[in-house]
Amino acid sequence: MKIITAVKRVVDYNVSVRVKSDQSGVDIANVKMSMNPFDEIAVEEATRLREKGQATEVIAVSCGVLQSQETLRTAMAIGADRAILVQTDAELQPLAVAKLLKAVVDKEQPQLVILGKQAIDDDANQTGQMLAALLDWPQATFASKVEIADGVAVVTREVDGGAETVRLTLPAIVTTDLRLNEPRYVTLPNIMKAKKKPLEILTPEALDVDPAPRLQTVRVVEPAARKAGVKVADVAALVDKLKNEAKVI
Amino acid sequence: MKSFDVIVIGAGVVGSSVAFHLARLGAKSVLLLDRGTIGAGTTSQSSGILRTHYSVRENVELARRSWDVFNNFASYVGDDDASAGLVKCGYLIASPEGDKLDPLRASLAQQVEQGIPLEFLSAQQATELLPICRFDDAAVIGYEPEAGFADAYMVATSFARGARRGGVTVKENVNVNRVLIENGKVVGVSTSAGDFTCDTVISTQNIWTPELAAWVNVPMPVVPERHAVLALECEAAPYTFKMPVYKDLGSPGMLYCRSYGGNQMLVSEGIVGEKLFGPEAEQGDIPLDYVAEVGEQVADRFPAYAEAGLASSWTGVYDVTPDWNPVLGRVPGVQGLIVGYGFSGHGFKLSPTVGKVLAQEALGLATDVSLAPYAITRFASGNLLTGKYGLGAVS
Amino acid sequence: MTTLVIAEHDHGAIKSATLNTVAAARLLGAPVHVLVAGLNARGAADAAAAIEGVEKVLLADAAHLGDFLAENVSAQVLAVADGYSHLLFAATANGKNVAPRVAAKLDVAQISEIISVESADTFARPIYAGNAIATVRSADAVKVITVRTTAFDAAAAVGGSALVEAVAPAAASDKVSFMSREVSKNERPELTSARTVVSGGRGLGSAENFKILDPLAEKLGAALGASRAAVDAGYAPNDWQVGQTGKIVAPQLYIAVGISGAIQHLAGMKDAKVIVAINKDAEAPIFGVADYALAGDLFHAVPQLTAAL
Repeated sequence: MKIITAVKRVVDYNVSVRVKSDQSGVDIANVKMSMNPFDEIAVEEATRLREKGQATEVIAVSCGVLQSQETLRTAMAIGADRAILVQTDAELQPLAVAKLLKAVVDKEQPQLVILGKQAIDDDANQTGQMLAALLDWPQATFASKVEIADGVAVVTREVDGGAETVRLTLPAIVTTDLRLNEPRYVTLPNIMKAKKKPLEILTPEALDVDPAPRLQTVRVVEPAARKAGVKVADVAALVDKLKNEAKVI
Repeated sequence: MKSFDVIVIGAGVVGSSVAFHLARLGAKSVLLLDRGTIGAGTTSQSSGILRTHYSVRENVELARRSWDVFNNFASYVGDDDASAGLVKCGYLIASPEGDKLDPLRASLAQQVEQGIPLEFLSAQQATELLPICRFDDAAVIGYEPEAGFADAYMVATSFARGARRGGVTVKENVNVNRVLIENGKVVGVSTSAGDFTCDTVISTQNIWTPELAAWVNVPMPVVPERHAVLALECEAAPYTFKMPVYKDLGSPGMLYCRSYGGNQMLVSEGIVGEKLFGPEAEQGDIPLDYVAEVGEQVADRFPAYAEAGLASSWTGVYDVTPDWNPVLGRVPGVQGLIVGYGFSGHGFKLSPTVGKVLAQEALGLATDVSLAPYAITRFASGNLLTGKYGLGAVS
Repeated sequence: MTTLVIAEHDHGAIKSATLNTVAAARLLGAPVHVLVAGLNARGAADAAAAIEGVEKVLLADAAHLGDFLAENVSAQVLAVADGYSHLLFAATANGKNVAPRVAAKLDVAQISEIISVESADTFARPIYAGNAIATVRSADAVKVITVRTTAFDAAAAVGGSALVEAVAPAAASDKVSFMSREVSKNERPELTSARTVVSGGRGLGSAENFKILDPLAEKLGAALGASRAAVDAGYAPNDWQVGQTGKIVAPQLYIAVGISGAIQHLAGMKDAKVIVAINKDAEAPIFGVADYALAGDLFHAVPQLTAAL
């Protein structure tokens, strides 16, 4: 069974982003970029499935700028066997990414596509679900456990107030939640090996997909500033504030 | 209060130390300013290494006195709850045959002559201290027991707290627009919180010193250089708190490493980093190729780390001067302006004494260590404080 | 223009999230209908019909809608979507699971977690974990939206008198089946998604002392975190670290105990809704971001707080 795992190059989660003063967006020039943390979990899960003998090949796919090659190299250092970059400098929104991924899926014919549940830049939480819709495949989002056997995926998902388990016939889409696994640290030897693994570059044109964004960004602003805090004299006063003023307990 | 005797610009670990010592030495009216919060600039990125090993003897003097402060921190700042986060694990430095051997021997000999507690170790002895490391090619191994690492941010905030208790006014989130000068004399500063008058300004602005240079129209050579730090995890060979800080002069990158969290290894190259175009303390990209390159150097010295995993990584910025040593003292042509910048990646370990001598200078007192070698005029006169190791933070 | 709100419910009743979503819907200025897709869900449908401002309720009742499987609910939404200009879902696990599927089938963009409505085609939403707010405009014929419920005051649950109209259930998917559900036991939640985080710093002094936070975290159902200084000192494991080089959290409540508030730590928790700081040092930087500051001995305060809850 082939597994495709989709990864996105995003602003590193440690970076405090600055909103541009002209309100046109967030300033990400020269800012540290990394693999979306939920996607690391996806690559880790795919790699574990291959290590367990349940998959024959893991292909990491990314859509975006040329520097995404570095992100794909990280995916291969975690364990992906090869990588595909759909290269474009255009602004990509989830619907376009889902269409690009569908084109790759149609070519590669995997039985499972694992994606991170959301990217920490746009926080959209849509791509996996959209891909599932375009392919007419079943989906299991926010997965905290994945078991594959006999053409079926049994997935436990995080839902409000607990978890539920669903059974999907393959091929299927899974999106990862934090509890699914703890990604391994990339090792120094694997960083070197990843350099030699195949990385194919495609374009949206070659895949016959129009990547143009649908939503227009009107403005981007900073959120309202935190209000100043108050001192509380003792624990009783604190509990009172938390219960009756902040209403968080 | 709008009028002060001394205004300190920049509340990193050096500026906080200056403010603390001004109060300690009796200054009554001091203002400490920062455009952010205390220690929010490059201080918080420091790896915190403490050692007195330097090839420049004046640096040894600054470092040894500073070590005494770190080693007795709570009582020095007069606060039982203060902590420098000190891990006193010692500092080990080794070189194989090669171009670093003579500078190492010379520096160690000089340290001995200056009375620094120092041992020359055999490979066997070094292995007892740092069993995960190989020393088979070491020609000389020096070991300072009175060394280790600490937390620069905690030290900065402790100094700031002590400064406040000593009567210093601390204003965070205040931008300084310029230093006000009349007839070649400092008369105050203009800030986003209004103007303040004073006749002495001490600038500890690190990579933001070029702003000062522009305000007072005096060249102040300094270049921001970004360095990457890696945290590596190797279950087979944890780097514990008992193991000393290690400086590997045999590695191309002149690596230094220490324990991180009591099990992982924090490692960074000591040599030239990535020059930035402007002062910028934000996190930078660390390419995988770079990780592999440093990893290879680590594995060469720590064999088990050939299989180590990259647990985390971050970058820190140095304010680098032409000779990798700080500029300390008065600025000629601008009466009342004193600077302390250009620590080039080794400022934290000197911060207690630097703070004291700059405070002494400002108050017209004799300085514990002479500032003359660190004068800003040395760049023009050619009397650079270039260390025997060439470029790099072990100067 | 007409808006369809896809109800969040448990068949017998609607969930409060639906009230907030209806409130958002009403801001669009168009008639608001509600779709209740469930099993034996008449109770939920009647409750939806009573919501102030709702004009019509569509009820699709079938066994295969009983577990809110995305494939089936989205098919149901698509079956009735014709004629609606806006399809609104609460940004709950269910809503987020279904909405994008619907949008892709309609070949339109989906707008996630709106926090305000500027006009019928323009909405604000948080990006970069709320560090920036983007206002976006959609030119698509149908706007498919998930609504951050905490950003809209609930519509009144009574006062409405809509008619409930049965609609034919759409076909079930044969590629997915529901197996089981587990309600959350009170085990320690995951740090980055926990509603409450209790975090310890160097002030605790030792790994042993760190344990005084356990009963407090237990009482609050909270995850445990730590500052880098505490981790560096060996008081807490690396994966508890909150902040730069650790984890970024944005809980409803963050209680920082014995944490001074280094900038790298603040970066990891400054988006918490409510920050409480307990520290001996009244000038600790953490008090600059705390909503409620208790300057005092944590070794007294923490047990007292635990007992008072």
